[in-house]
Amino acid sequence: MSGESAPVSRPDVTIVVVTAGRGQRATLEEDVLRTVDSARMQTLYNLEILLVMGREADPDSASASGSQGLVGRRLAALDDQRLRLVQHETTDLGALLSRGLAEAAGTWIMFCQSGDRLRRHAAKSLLLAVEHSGADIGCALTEVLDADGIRRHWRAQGHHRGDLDSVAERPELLADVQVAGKLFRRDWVAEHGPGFAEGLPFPEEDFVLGAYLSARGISVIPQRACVREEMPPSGPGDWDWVRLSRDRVQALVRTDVQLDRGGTSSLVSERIRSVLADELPVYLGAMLEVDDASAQAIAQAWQAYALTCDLAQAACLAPALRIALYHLLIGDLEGIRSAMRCDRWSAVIEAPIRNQDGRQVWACEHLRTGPSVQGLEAAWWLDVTAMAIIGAPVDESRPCHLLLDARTVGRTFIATGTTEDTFSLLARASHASLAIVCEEGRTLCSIPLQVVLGEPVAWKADAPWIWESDAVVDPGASGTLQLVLRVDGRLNRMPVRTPASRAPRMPVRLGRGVVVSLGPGRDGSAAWTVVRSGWGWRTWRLSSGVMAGLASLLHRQALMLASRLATALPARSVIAFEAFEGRAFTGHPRALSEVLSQERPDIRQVWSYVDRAEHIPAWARAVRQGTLRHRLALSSARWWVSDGTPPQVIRKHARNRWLQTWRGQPIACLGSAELDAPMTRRVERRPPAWQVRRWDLLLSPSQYFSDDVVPALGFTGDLVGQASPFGAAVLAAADDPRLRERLGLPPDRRIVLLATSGEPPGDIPGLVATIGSRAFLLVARDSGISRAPDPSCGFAVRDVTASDDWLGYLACADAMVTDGSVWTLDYARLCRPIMLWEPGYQSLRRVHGTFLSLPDLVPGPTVRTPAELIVALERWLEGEPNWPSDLPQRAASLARIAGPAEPSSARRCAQVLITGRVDGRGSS
Amino acid sequence: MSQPGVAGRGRRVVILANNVDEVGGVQRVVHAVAGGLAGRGYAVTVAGIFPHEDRHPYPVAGAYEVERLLSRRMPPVVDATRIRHKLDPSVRRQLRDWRGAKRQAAGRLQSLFDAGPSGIVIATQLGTMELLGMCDLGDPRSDERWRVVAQYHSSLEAAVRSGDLARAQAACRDADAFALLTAEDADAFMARGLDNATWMENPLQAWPEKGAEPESRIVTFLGRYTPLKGPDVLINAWRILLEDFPDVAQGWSLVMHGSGPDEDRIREAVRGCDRIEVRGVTADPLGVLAEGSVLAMPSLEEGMPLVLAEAMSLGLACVATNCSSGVRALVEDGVTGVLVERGDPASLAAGLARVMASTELRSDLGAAARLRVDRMRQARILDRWEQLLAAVMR
Repeated sequence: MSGESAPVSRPDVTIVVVTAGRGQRATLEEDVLRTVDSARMQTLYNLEILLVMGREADPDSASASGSQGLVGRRLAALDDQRLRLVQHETTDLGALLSRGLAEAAGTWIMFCQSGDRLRRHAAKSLLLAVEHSGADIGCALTEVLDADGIRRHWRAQGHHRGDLDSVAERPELLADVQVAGKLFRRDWVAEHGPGFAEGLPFPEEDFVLGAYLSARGISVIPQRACVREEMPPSGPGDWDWVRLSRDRVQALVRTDVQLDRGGTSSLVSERIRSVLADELPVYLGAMLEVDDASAQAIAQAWQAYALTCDLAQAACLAPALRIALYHLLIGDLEGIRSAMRCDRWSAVIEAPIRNQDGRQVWACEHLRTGPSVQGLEAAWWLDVTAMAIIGAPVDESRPCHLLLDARTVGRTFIATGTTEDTFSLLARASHASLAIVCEEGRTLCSIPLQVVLGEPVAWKADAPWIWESDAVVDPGASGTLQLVLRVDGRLNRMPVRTPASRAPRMPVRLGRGVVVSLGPGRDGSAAWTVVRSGWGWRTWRLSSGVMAGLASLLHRQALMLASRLATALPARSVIAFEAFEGRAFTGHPRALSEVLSQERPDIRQVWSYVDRAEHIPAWARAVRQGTLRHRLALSSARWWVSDGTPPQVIRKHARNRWLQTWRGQPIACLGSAELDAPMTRRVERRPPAWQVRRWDLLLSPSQYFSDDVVPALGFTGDLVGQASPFGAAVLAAADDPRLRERLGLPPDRRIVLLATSGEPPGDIPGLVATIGSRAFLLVARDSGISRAPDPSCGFAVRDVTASDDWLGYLACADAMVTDGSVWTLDYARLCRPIMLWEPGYQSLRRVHGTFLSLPDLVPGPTVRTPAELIVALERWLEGEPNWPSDLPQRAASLARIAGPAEPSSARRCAQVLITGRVDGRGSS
Repeated sequence: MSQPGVAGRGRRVVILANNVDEVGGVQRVVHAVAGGLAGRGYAVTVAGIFPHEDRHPYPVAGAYEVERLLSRRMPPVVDATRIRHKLDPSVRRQLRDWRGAKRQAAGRLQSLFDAGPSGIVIATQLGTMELLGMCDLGDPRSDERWRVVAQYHSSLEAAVRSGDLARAQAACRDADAFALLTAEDADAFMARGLDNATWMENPLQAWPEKGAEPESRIVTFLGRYTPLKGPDVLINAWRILLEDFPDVAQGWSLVMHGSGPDEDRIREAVRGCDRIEVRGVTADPLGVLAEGSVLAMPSLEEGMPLVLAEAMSLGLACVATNCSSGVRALVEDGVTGVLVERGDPASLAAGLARVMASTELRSDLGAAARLRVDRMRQARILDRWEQLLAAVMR
C-alpha cells in the first residue's frame, strides 16, 4: 500500500472510500476492510483505491489511534500498490469526500462509504458505458440490505438503460441523489461541480444534484453497482429521528435552492413528488415508534417544509399517505399515526368510512371542520374511494387490534389491548379469541377474550392456552398472534399490532412442552417463533439420527400396513375427494361432491385437507393429510377424485379407482406436446408417467382437451368426455343475482379478474390508482401461490388464488385479463370480454409453447404494456372499448373450444362414480 | 489511450469447448474466432475437453494449437440424487469415473494455464465454465490472473426450458464477461442477476461477393436431421403448400441437405412426396444455398443460427420460425425475411407461399437481409472480439 504522497500512475478509476463512522468502533475495521476488499476484487484492475479516514473526535482516547492504526496495518499487510490511505483532520463526511475528490488521481471517480460492498463488475460496467457515450456521469443501481436481510433497489425509478443528454430527459433520476453507485468524470466535476457541503448534513446530495444539472451527458445502466447495509438499530431510540428530520429538511431546502437555480419546472415537480412519495413517509412512519415529544418535533420540522411544496402533487400519493400528509399539515399527531398505521400495517382501518357525494371518505373529526390547505379541501385529502373499503366482507375487514400489554404468570398468558371497531366486528362477534396462528394460517392454540365494548373496544385474554385437537408444531415454525372473531358465521383473523419499540419480547409457554418467543414482526404485528417444539420432537432430537430415521421408517411401515389391512375389510361406499392439494374446496371435485350430496346422500364422502378444515362441508368427513385416518379412508374408498397429485407413498389397491380432473384447461404445452423434441434437463410440466398410469378415468371438459391435452399427458385410458361440472357450476352461478353480495364485492363497480400463469400484469397499485374507484380487481395465479396485495391498494384488490369461492369469483367477473391462464377457457363460456396480456403470453409461448394461439382467439384487445392495459380498461369502463368488430364471433368461437358445460355434466360424472361405468363400459 | 485491442495482441488466449472436432455450430465459431485472433497476433490455443470420433479437418494450418484434454469421451453424467442411486454399485462406479475424468481434464487444463503467462480464457459452453471452476486462475485481486469470458450460445427461453439458467447463474456470475448472442438475451440475463452480460454475434467466415439469384425456384433446407431442427414440420408444410397454393408452388422444389439420426426416417417420409429431394451432408454450404432463392428454417430451437446468417449474406429470402432471440435479431418480419410460428406447418406454408409468389419480394427481402448481416462479417466480429478482450484485460 502506498503512502499519502505517492498515487499510482493515471488509473482509470479512483474509488474513494470514506469512513462513515457508522459502525461501533469494534467493527469499523471490518467495515473498511470489507469495502476495500470489494474494491480490490473489481474486474477492472487499473484502479486507485483511496481510503480517506477521519481522525477520531477524542484524540486522547485510549482507542483513538486504535482504529486508524489497526486499519493502516491491515491495509499495509495486503501489499497492494493500488491502495492509498489518507488521514483527514475531521470526521465530517463532506470534508472527507472533498478530500477524496482532491486527492484522486484517476480519470474517473467513484465514492462509497465503509461498509458498502461494490459488486464485482461495477467499475468496469460504468466505465465502459461512459466511455462509449462520452457522458460525464455514469449511474447504476444501489442495493440496500435491511436488518431483516431483505434486498431492495434504492430509488430504482429511472434506472433503465439509456444515454441521456441531460437529467431533464429522465426527471425520475432526481430521486437518487446518493453518491454511491455512480461514476463521475473527475476533472470535469472538480472544475464545474458544486463540491461537497462541509459541516452540513447529507453533503453528497448537493454534489450529485449539481452534477446532474450540469452534466453534458448521463449514462444509465441497469446493473447493480453497490450494496449498502442499512444500519440496524440496536434498540429504541438508536436512530435520532428528530435530528434526522431536521437534517433532512435542511438538506432539502439547500438542494431546492440549487434546483430552482439550475432546473426546469418538470424537474422541480418531480422532486416534490419524490419527496412526498419516497421520503416523507419514512419519517411519518417513524412517528409510530417514537414518543409524543419526538413525534411532535418531527412533525414540526416536516410541516414547515411540506407547506412550501406544491401540494397538488399529493394527488399521486396512496390514500393513506395523503391522509397522513393532511394531518401533518394541520398538526394532528394522532391523525398522522392513525393514517400511518393504515399505510404501514397492511391497511388496518381505524376511522369510520362514509359515503359522501358518491365518494368514500375517511370520516375523522376533520372531515367537516378541517381547513383547506393550498385550496384543497379536507374531503379531497380524506378521499379513500380507491381503497374500496365499504362493503368489505367480514373475512376481508382489517380492524386495527393494538396490543397494549402482555405477560405470563405461570401457564397463564395475560394480554390486554384495544380495537377501533370501525367495522363493528367485535360488537357483532359470537366468539372472539386470541390465537397463536402459523404462517400458513393454521391455528395452534387460543384463549377466549373478554371484550368490553366502547370507543375503542377493550379486550383482555387471561387464561392458559387451549390447543386445537390435532395441532402439531414443527420445529422452526413461526407465525403471528392474531385476534380471531367469528361474525355471522365467517371468520375474521387479523394480527395484533404494536409498534416495534414497544413490542413485547418474551418467551411464552403454550403447553405440551411448546415454548415460543414473542417479538416484533413485520407490519407492526406481534410475531412468534418456536423455541421448543414439544415433547415429541424433543424426543426425536435427543435420539440419534439413525434412531430417528428408523422410527420414521417404522411409522411409515405401520401406516402402510394399516392401509393394507384396510383393504381386507369390506369395500365401503366411500368417495375420497381432494382439491387444490387439500388447500381449498373448489373445482370439479367440489361440483361433483355437491351433486352427490344432493342425489346420493347415502354415499359417504371424505375430503382431505392440509391445514384448514373449515371449508369442508358438513356432509363430508374431513381428514387431515398424512394421518392414519387419511390412509384408511383412501384405502377403503371406492373412488378417489382429485385435481392434483396424491402423495407417492399412497399405494393404490385394486379396488380403488381414480378419477383425475384438471384445474381449468391448459393453454401452455405440457412436455411431449412439443413434437417429441428431446431436450436435456428439460422442465417437465406434465405429471410423470407412473402418475398418469394410476389414473383410471380422466375428466375431459372439451374436445380440445381430448385432442390436444390428453395425448400430451400420455394418458391412454378412458375419458369422461365433454363433461365439465365446474364449468356448469360457473354458468349457474353467473345467473345468481345475489352472488356479489355473498362474496362481499361492491355492487357499484365492474369486476376485473387478472388471471395469469405467472405474475399479474403491470403495476397493480398504478391500476388501482387509476381505475380503483370504478373497478374492483381480483387476482388469481395459476401457480396457486397467494400473495397479499400491496396494502396501498386497500380493499380494491383481492387475491382469490386459493379461495374456496373461486367459482363465484370467476362467475361474477365482468372482464378478464389473462396471459394464457388455465382458467381462460372456463371464463370464455360466459362470453364476456377477455384481454390478452401479451408479454406474459409471449413468455409462456417461448418457454413452453402453447396449444392455442390466443391473440387470434380472445374476444378483446391484446395489450403490450401496463399503460396500454390501463387505457384499454378505462375505455371499457367508459363504454367505448374500440375493440375488433368480430368480437361476438371470437367470443362464440372460444366458448366452443372451451366445450359445452351443460347442467347435466355434474350428474353424468356423478353417475360414473355411482355405477363405475363410463358410457356403458367399465366395471364398478 | 492506445487503440483498443492492438495493445493486447500477443496475449495468450485459450478457447475451451466440450469438443473441437465435430462439425457443429459451436465448433465452427470456435475455429473461426481462433483463426482470426491468431491471425491478428494472439497466441491462441483451442482446447476440447474430449475428442470426437468424427474429426472434421478444420483449417488450423499451424496458426494456433489444438489440444484435447482427455483421450477419450467423457463418461455420461449420472443421476445420483436419490438414495437408491447412491447405493447402486454401478451408479457409484459411473459417478466415480465421471468425477475422475473431470478431475483429469481439470488437471490437464491447469497444466495448460501454468505453461505460460496468464491471458484470457474463452469458455464457449457451460460445461467448460464448470470445469474452469476446478482450476486455479490466480488471485482475483491480482493483475496476473486469468481473465474469463464465458459464452452461452442459446437464448434465455432455451436456458429456462433446459435448466441451464441456474447453471449459468452459478458458473458465470464471476466471469469477466458473459457473452450472449444478442442484445435481447444480454438484457434478459442481466435482469436475472448476471451483471456482466454482454453480447457477441457469431462471425460469418465467408462473405460471398455475389448474391443468389432471386429467380431460382428452389427452397433450401440446410441442417441436421433431428427433431429440434424441424424437418418434419417442413415436410408437412410443403405438403400443405402444394395442396393449398398449387399455383404458387408451380415449378418449385424443396431440397434438403444435412445429416443426422433421423435421416432414414426423413427419406422415408418424403417418399412419394412431390418435388422434395433429400440429400446428405454438404461440404459447401454456401454453394448449395446459392442454388436456391429461399431458405426454410423450421427449427424448434436455435441460438444464433449460422445457416440463417449465411443465407442472408447470399441475399436469400429467409422464412424462419420465431424460436429464439437470435432469429429475431436477424429476421425482421417483412423487412429482412419472414417470421412464422414455431412448430406450425400451416404458418410455415403460408410464409413460404408469400415469398415464393413474388420475385420482387424475394429480391427486396434478400437485399435487406444482406445489409443486416453485414455486421457479422468476420473482420467486424473479430474487431468486436478484440474490443471485448481489451475490455476484460483492463
